[in-house]
Amino acid sequence: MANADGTRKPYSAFRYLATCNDMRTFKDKDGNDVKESMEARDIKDYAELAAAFVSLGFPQAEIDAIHDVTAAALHCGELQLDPSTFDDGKANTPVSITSTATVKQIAKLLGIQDY
Amino acid sequence: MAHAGIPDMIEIDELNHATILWNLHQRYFKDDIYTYVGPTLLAVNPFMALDKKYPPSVIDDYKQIMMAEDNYLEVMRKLPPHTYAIAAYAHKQLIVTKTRQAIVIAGESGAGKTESANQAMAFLTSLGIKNIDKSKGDLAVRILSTNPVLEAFGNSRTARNDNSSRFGKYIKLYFDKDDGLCLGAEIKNYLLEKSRVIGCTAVERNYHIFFFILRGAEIAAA
Repeated sequence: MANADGTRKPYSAFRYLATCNDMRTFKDKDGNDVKESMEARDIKDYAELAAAFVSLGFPQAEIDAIHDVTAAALHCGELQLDPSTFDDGKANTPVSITSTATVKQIAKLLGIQDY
Repeated sequence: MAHAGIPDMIEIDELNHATILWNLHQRYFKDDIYTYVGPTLLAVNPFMALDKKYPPSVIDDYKQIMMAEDNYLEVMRKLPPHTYAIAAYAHKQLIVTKTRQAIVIAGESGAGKTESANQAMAFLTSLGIKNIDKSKGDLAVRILSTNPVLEAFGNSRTARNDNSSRFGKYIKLYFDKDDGLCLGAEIKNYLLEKSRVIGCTAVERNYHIFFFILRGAEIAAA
């Protein structure tokens, strides 16, 4: 997922994933504990996943749709709500979302018409 | 000098927790991670690749079980215990008895159930495939390709396991009743841990797929 200038967003830019523990510990040949980010493995596993989609016979449009829905789930974690509009369900009024740019992004990914 | 350990614990005179654990311990430190208890296979997760002890070629050793006549049980017992032997035995029984077979893989989190299931699938699909519709590609590759897809969306990192399945699965493999070739597969998934999508504890991760697309997708697209 790229920023507008084409640079990569780290996973920690997503509040939703920022609390995750990405460091794994394993033993090297001499039995010492080594800590390593799972990044290299994620990149390798993504390549395996992409190849698996193709060998399973998913058309490109479906692969793209799966990416879009997954990305939408990721962006849903970034939604900001306005606490002043929250009334604990008494008046049955909706809570306002303050991050309209995120909403637009999610709508676009899910193919929902702009409101 | 370490004791060699007993490959089938049914042969232990006095079976109790202590003798079972002692035997598994002896074997584990020689990288003998598989031990039988009669028809049951006990696998102890080595938490590393044992490519030297179990190179990919061992898969062919266990095909002897399929080639064997009525003495297939003896052939199986002569080979070192392995998941492949269980898969071969199930397939042989399928052909001989013409009844459905099931392999149940149970254990606690991180015990190696997912890997064992993948091994059994790899063995059973390596026996030969009947490709009815060749236009869709190699059936064996397609059956094994289901694993990376299901694991990307359904596996996550937990405190105890870097690749923990957060769902259960029931894999049905269909075989031709005459020649024993694989005809296809059907997978049913059960009980995905949906709450993980909302968030997870600090020592864990969310589902792999989110990290995959953030880290891998762009490189693949470029």
